[in-house]
Amino acid sequence: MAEVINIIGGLVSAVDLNTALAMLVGLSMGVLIGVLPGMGPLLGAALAIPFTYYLDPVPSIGLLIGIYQGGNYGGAITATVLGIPGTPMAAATLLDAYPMALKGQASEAVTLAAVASFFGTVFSGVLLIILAKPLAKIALGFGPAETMALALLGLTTIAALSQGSTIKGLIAGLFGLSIATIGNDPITGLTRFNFGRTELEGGIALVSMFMGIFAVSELLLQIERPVRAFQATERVGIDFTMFRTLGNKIRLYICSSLLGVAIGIIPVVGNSTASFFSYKLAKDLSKRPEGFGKGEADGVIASEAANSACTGGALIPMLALGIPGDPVVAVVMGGLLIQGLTPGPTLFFTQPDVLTGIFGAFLMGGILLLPIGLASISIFIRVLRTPLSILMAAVLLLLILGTFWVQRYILDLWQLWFFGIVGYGMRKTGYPLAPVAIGYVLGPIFEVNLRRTTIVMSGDFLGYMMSRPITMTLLVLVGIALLLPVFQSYIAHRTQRHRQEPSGKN
Amino acid sequence: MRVDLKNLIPGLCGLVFGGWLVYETFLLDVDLAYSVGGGMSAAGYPRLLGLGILGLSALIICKSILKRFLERAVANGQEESSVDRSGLKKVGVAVLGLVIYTLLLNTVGYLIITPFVLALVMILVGARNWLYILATSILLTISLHLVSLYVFHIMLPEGLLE
Repeated sequence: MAEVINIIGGLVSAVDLNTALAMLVGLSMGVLIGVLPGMGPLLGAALAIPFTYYLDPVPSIGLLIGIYQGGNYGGAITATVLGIPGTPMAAATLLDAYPMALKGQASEAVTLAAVASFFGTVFSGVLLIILAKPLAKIALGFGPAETMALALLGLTTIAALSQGSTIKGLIAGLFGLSIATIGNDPITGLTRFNFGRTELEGGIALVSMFMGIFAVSELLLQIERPVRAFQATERVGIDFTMFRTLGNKIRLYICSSLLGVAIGIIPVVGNSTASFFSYKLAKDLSKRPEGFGKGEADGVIASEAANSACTGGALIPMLALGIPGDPVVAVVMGGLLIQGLTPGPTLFFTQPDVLTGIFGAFLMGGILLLPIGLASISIFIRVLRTPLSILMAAVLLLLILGTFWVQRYILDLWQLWFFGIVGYGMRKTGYPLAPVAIGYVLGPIFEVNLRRTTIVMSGDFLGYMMSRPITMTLLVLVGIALLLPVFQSYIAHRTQRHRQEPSGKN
Repeated sequence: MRVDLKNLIPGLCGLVFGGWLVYETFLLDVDLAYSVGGGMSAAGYPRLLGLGILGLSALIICKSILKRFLERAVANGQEESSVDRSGLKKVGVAVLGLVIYTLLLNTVGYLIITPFVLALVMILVGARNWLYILATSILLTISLHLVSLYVFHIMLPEGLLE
């Protein structure tokens, strides 16, 4: 009963003016960024990070979550109107939303996408509230070995299963862990690798690093190969009859959302995978599978509901265990760190009001997503006509000022450009960026717990590990995560060889 | 034998970074760095990371060289995926512009130098109308300066306007 009262209290406190405004701004910014191809919620969250310094904890996380939720939906508008996914997670939505638009049903498609996003987000918000605390309670019993193994699992999974080669992912992860060592050692206080600069004693500026590696690298890519301007001429509005699908297709909504939450919990798998999985499942179970890909409403519902439900799922391991499941959640985690809050099981018991405020903000975002998403359709379609040069100039200026506003150090700008060039180089040579960000945020947790483990085990590695079954299990999962891409590559190679062999022998 | 620059260059960068990291850990004050009660030291952990980067980067380079050695020569002398040199030049110009901007920001001042870097980026992504470039870069500079001053109460570098 006390738990329920706490949650309701948190939800009510989340409705305070600051949080509501932050959610509104975040959602609007997120939808806008999602609409623009090549942008995406990650860029939006990275740009918004400096503004979180000026807000209280709940509104600041609300702003970032709003961008995450809005960005996941915004891509569906572009997918419907232009046949181009505004974000990678809208790629599955495009398969049926664009054919619907071609048949003159664009309003139905965008409305359906908004309704499905609303349902998926709210559903995942409820599961977030139900699952996060019990998971955190289990994690409270973890010692340094378990925490170290969990951080290693999170990092290895993201490094090994990211796009591109496993080795490159691991190098990216190690690079992220390395830059987290700059500054004062968390155990002895010794200053490491600060190049004699007192500004670096606190470590690399999180804002510079995130904005550099994600946003500046994207800017440089756009400079290298500018995307052409888009012309969206279709008149699109709201079709209120689509709300009826919440009644007659409720099973599809629930199944797709459940799948989205489940996939969101697993690090790195991500929204795009969730939406394609859900799309395929809906097609396989549909009475009209031949209609998929030709403008079938169920395809739009399945992909958008799963994609949006992923947002809540991805927050569960971050809040409960301190392990971010994807790059956007890593930025949200960065927002918590800026506020002096370390996500993980202890946060549930040291700052319960902040967490219930975050849960309330998440649910509020899901509810507000529907009216904002619908109201902004025609406005944001016009934004697609904004020349790229204006957008890039505005993004660059926001990057410069966003970095400068935090500490007013010119050194932060140098860090911004450094990480931007590194991020650009990594993208050009096939190195994933997510492991760098996640290595950076997990670095201190991993280092402290690894070194504590080495102190506690006093040289008896095997004996100590045998007495920690949870640690052993997590380390086995780390091994599986590292070997899985090798195994998949071997199977793919064998399948290809089998196909290339001449059929039939004399 | 053609060299796979796409893997060789980052591999070499990884070797340099990993080597530098390992080297720097030996310069840390060992007595001060040793944890109370033994265990991994403040120097030991980054050393482990550096060795990991060194090893994996060496693996990338070896794989790249081995792959090229075993591959047949490209048929008919065709070029493999060609590098977009004009694109890289534009990125180089952008980076140079950003470096110069950062060097001069405090001396010249935000209001004077920012329109130049914005105009540079606009030209690099394809804008050609000078009036449009000028108006956009000046308007953006001034409007965000006002936001900085009146919303966040943060003074931006004044430089020559001081």
